[in-house]
Amino acid sequence: MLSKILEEMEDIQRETIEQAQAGDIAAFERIYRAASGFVYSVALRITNNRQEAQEVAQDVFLKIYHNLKGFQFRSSFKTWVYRVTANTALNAYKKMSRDLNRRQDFDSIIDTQAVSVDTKKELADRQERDEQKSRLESLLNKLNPDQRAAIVLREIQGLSYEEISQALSININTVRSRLKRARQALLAASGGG
Amino acid sequence: MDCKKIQEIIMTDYIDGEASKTLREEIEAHLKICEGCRKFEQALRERVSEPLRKLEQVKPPEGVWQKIKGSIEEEQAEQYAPSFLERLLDFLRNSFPVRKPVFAFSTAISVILIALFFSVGPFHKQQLVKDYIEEKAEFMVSLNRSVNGDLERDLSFNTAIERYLF
Repeated sequence: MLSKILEEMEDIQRETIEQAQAGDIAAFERIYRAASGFVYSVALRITNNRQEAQEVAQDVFLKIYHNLKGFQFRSSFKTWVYRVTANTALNAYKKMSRDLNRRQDFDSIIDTQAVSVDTKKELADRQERDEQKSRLESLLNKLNPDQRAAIVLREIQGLSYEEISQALSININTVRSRLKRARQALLAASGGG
Repeated sequence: MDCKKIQEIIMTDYIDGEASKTLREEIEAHLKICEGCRKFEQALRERVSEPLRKLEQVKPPEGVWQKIKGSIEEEQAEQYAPSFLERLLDFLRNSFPVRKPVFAFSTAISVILIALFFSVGPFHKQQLVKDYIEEKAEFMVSLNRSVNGDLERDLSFNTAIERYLF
């Protein structure tokens, strides 16, 4: 059974897409209203950051808008949206992780030099924030970006193996293997398995 | 199939509903007789799959669409804004009005027709008359000069008094 968000994506009519291709911004807004739930949810679960997810959503729809004229209905529109969303969210997440690693390296240098009162307070705040995060979101953080994208598209969005393989441009056996490793890691992190 | 293989299938095709009917029946038959695999399947559903599937689906805040729309409108405005060259041509057109090609063409045709009219029409004959008169006038002047010259030569006796008077 399709989730409500996927049902909305299914409702996008070819006529609406053609109108948007002709530059009708009202038609493009209808596409946005129907697809933004999927795009934002995937972006949010992959990046685990609201600000970043909003930027990903904005980026995805501008990419769709710019490339809409070249869309020739050879593949389904929703598959194309899945692919653009997954790629954009994964790239944002990988960039964010690199930036975070650089920042953590910097933080560790500061920590070894002198731990001021303010830094201690910051650490306590961070721990508090970490504790407030939902258990599942923390679990998702334990996965590598590729496993994370596969599990988000399958478990949260309900895409089939075929759809995930198209969205991530990988073969079905790779989809299967990423899901298996992701679930093994989640099961182990949640206290068993 | 051994338990390891069964659990691999449980973690993928079985739990995701992608297994064929035969494979699903085979797994279900195994689960009935194997407590370890049954517990594994239950743990996977309860601790991983179900909680993830329950995560809320969220829509982005309205500000996201406003930013997208703003970017598109800005791009459209840039796309239709006149370039420097177009603005320069407009300025020149306004400063030095030039007729549009259709008027320029008709003007050129009119000029050619008028020129032809004056060169082969009645005015052309007037020009011939004028040329003829000028030619005759020059002839008369030259004739007069030569006559006067001849008279001077014919009537001169080259005397001292003539040289003194003339």
